[in-house]
Amino acid sequence: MPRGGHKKSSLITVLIAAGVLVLVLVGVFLFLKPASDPYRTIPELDVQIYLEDAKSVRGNTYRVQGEVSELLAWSEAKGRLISLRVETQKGMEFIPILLPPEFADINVQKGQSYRIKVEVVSQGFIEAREIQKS
Amino acid sequence: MKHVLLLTGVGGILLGALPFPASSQEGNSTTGSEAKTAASETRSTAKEGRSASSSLMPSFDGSTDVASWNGRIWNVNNNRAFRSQFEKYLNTPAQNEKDDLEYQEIIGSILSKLSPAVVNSQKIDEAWALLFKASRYPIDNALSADLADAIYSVWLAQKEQDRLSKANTALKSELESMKWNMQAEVEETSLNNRPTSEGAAAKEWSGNRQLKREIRLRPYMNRIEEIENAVESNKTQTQASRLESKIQLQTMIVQLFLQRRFEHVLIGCRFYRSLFGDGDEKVTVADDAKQLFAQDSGLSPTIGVISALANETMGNVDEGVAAYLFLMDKEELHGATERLSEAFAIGQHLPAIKNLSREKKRLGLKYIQKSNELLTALEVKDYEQALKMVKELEEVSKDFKPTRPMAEIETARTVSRMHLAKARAAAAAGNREILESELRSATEIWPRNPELQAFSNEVFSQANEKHKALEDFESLKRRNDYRLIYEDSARFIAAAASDEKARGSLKEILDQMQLVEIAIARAKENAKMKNYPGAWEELEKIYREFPHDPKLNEIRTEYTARAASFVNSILEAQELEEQEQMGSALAWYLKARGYYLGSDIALEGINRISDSIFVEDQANEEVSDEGATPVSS
Repeated sequence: MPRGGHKKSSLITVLIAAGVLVLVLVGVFLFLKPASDPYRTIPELDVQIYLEDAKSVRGNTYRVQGEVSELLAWSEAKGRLISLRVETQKGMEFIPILLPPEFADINVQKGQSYRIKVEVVSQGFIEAREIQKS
Repeated sequence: MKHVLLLTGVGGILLGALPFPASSQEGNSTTGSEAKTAASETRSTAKEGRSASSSLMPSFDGSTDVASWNGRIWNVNNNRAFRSQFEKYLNTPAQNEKDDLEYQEIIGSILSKLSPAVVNSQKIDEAWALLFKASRYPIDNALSADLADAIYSVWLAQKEQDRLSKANTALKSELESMKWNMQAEVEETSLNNRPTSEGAAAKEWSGNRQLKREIRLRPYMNRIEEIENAVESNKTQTQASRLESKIQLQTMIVQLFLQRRFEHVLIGCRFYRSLFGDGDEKVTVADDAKQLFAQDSGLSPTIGVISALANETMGNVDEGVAAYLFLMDKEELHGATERLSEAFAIGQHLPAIKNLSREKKRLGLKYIQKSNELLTALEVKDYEQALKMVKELEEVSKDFKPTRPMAEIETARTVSRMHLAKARAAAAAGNREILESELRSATEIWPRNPELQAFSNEVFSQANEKHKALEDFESLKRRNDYRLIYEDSARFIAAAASDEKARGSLKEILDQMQLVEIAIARAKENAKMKNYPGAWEELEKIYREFPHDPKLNEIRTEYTARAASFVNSILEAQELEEQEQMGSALAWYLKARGYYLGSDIALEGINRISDSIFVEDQANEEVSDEGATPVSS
């Protein structure tokens, strides 16, 4: 039955090739993923703590990711104040983020998602230091 | 004057208007001065010409307190006294005791002895003696003795006149004697001794002779002159004495007439005629008294006229009593009592009045009592009682005419009610001045008006209630319990109507409570649509102003539970904003807005905090109600 043995070896070869391909794809994914979140090394803002006591996080830099829900205010000198909808473990929260004038060239629109590097400044306001569309 | 009209028109009421004599009734001896007073009072009336003396019907002039009856004018000092006197008379038994009968017998005997048909000196003396007998009875009031004294004075005067007459006769005799003696003396002078030759001797002789004759005749001439003077003096004295005694007796007769002692008037008149024999001679009394008698007839009074009037009056009294009895039989109490009261007023001392039995008198007593009650009620303006009396009088008397008392009663009631209506209007308008004025007027017209009493109580009660309401209002205001003020606002509005300060405070509170009520209504509307955050927010907006309102608190608590997440977000935001954690606060406001997009509180918080960031930039742009605004670079 030499015809039957040839078929069996071909199937094994295909399976091995598929496994290798999967491994290659996983490797590529893992390799490429860190490169899409530039602030991955920065701790994420704990929104619940911020809501309870912003003073405790004042002066720190965090990263946040969320969707622009609305533009709250704007001025040429101070920039734009936006409301960012953020997913937390307790559900959806809104945090205000001030986009200083240096980000004026970025079109920030309602519904867009951004990764933002932020700093909690005086009076608990959050100012963007870097911003990247996600 | 109203009462006068009424009294003259209303049956039993007329009794109150009938005269009360100037003299005392119960026989206290009447003095001449009293009689003069009565005469004086009638004089004033006569002079003013107001009396209705020309009328034969009884009438009363309240403006002068004078009543007239059958041409006679009587002073009325006390109508009420007369009413009670007449009522008392109706209750007293007939004066037919032994003494009364004896007295009337004596008076009758005197009158019969002095009757013109039988009178002579002996009967005059007997009648005069009986006067003293009559005066012993109390019922006579010693008037007979007074009359007897006056007659005795006339007799004394007549005796004096006789003495003077005799003296004059003697004087005249002496005068004649003197004249004769004087004549004799003149004739006694001889011419034999006359000188024969003419000349000086003869002239001297003639002169001496004339002188001697004058000396001889002078005593006779003086005496004759004295006698003539004495005779003339005696004549004058006689005339004066006669006139004085006449006037004395005439005055007594007039006085008795004014005292309505008509039997004594007749006795006096008959004595007068016997003593002076000139019954038609004019009565010499003061003009006032003359006018009293002259008014009816237009003639000067004489003893004959006075006697006739007394007789007529006595006859009228008899007729009045007879009319009373007849009308009582017909159950016409009004007319019956009227006739009797007229008869009583004039002939109080006459046998026809005195001898009327108590049983017969009492037939009209009830009517008189009710009439007097009616009159008293009208006098004191107790119109309810007056009305009651009118109805009762209508029931007991067939001929009682209620028109006039009813007119007065209804007029007073109507006017009083009009004042009361004005007082009510003033009370409603809070015009205290007019209220008091109208109440005073209403009270003056009808003091016992039951509506007035009720209204006064009401006003008093309202005043108390008002006072209490204002106290409650101030107390609730101090406790900020505006809810109770609002719920009882009608009471407080009424109480504060006349209190400017309270009215202002109340208006302010009610305006505020109106805002609360509007907020509650809006909240309930939101709740109906399950918009509990919206409902809560409607209440929350006003809650800070009225945190003590229990109703607001209750509903707010309910909606707080139903919109807990939203409420919690707002409260957290507000708390953090107070702590100047503006970022967190803003986040909470945003979160609240996520629950209720239309939240004004959240929007205001967001705007407020945003403004604090962009305060230095005049070009800032507030976020719109609609939330997100696309941002263009």
